[in-house]
Amino acid sequence: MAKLMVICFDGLNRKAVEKYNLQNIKQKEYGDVRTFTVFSGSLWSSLVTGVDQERHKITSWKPTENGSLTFFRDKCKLECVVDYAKKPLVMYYPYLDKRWRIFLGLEHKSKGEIVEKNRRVYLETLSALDTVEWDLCLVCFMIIDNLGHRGELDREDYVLIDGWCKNLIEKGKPDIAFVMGDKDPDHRPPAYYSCSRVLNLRNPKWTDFYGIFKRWLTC
Amino acid sequence: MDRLLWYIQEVVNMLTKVIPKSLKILEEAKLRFRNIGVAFSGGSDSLVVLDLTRMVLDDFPVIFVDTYNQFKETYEYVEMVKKKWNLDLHVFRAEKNRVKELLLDRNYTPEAIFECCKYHKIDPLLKGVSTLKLDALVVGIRRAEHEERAKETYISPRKDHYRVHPILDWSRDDVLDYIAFYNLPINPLYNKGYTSLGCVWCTKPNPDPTKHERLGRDQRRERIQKVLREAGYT
Repeated sequence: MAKLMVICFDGLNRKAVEKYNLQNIKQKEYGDVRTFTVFSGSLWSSLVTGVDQERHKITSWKPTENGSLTFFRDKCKLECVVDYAKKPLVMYYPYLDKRWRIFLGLEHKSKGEIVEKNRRVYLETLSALDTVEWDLCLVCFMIIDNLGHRGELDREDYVLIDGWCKNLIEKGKPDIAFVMGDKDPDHRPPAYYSCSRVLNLRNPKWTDFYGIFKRWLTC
Repeated sequence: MDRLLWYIQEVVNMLTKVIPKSLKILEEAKLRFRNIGVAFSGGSDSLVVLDLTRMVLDDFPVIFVDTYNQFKETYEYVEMVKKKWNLDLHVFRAEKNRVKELLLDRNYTPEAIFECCKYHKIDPLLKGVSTLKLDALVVGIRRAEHEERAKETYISPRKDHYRVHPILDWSRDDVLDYIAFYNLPINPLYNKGYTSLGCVWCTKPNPDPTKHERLGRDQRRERIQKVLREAGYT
């Protein structure tokens, strides 16, 4: 069973990775990813479904009438990359885990609270990597975007998440690891990817990664 | 509360519908053309286009046409944006200022306006395109501005280059929302009643900002937009 790890950072793009020289986030291959929308909910939904916003129709964080955050699976009948995993380990991923709601409105909280809640996601993931069997580890952090919105994002925060990446990859020992960023906290493209293997991707689109993840999970 | 909800809807609409379409146009241009430049006039539309292009391209030349007759505020503002965004700004201008001879002494006849615009604005712009060897020039025209601009397409051919129009479908409000959302610096003339900017001789504050945004532009000049555009005007 091949093990695929995808670590997502809402609000991260290449300019920050370069500026702070985040050595662990930069893996063997890395670069910009083309995106056409600049809204997180829409972008992350495109990453896991492989389709543009026009098809998945998710344009906000707003839950459906019944409060469910899984509506693209109910209404659009779209497959999600998690469907191809035999043993998925999904941590705080939008529209897949109701606990995602914990993070809605985080940007209005204090810096300490934002860091703490994200750290909890990190620690829970780190612990789960040891205790459960998995072939897909999909984890998403909101720390960069939310601190960016508060104007309290600095080098120290980037160094912190760089360390989280290092530890998650070292502990999980995946066959392939991706680090994904959707845009910067000011809603500016491009998106970012890095991969622990050389894939020779040239000018990839955000939705291309769905197919790449799927191939790894089904090979 | 209603106003807050309206604002949130506006922002979400801009982020999920208006901007994505423009980014797609710019991405398509990026794939099709090797050398892409942006025309920056110091106005709000070209500011938005410049900022959108920064999202898609890392390095690109920016053309500013100095007609000798822009407002002092515009010159200062363009210099400020150049410094703030570290622009690769190229200034092109005609050989000399002939506004008196071409326009003022001829009392703003349609022929005079055309010759003045061609000499001070269109020819230097085209010279910029050829000097920088651009395959495509990104410009900030919108359909809502003028019926001649309404006929445009997102990427349209010219004699020796293409024009890229990423905000062709935008409204004036979309432009203002974008500037507010991204907190972009604007030309101070917009705070003095101007809603569309050009040279001092053909631009005045808009007498009724609730009406058309180009009402402050010389209407004799507005009537010859078709021939100006055929000659290479944006």
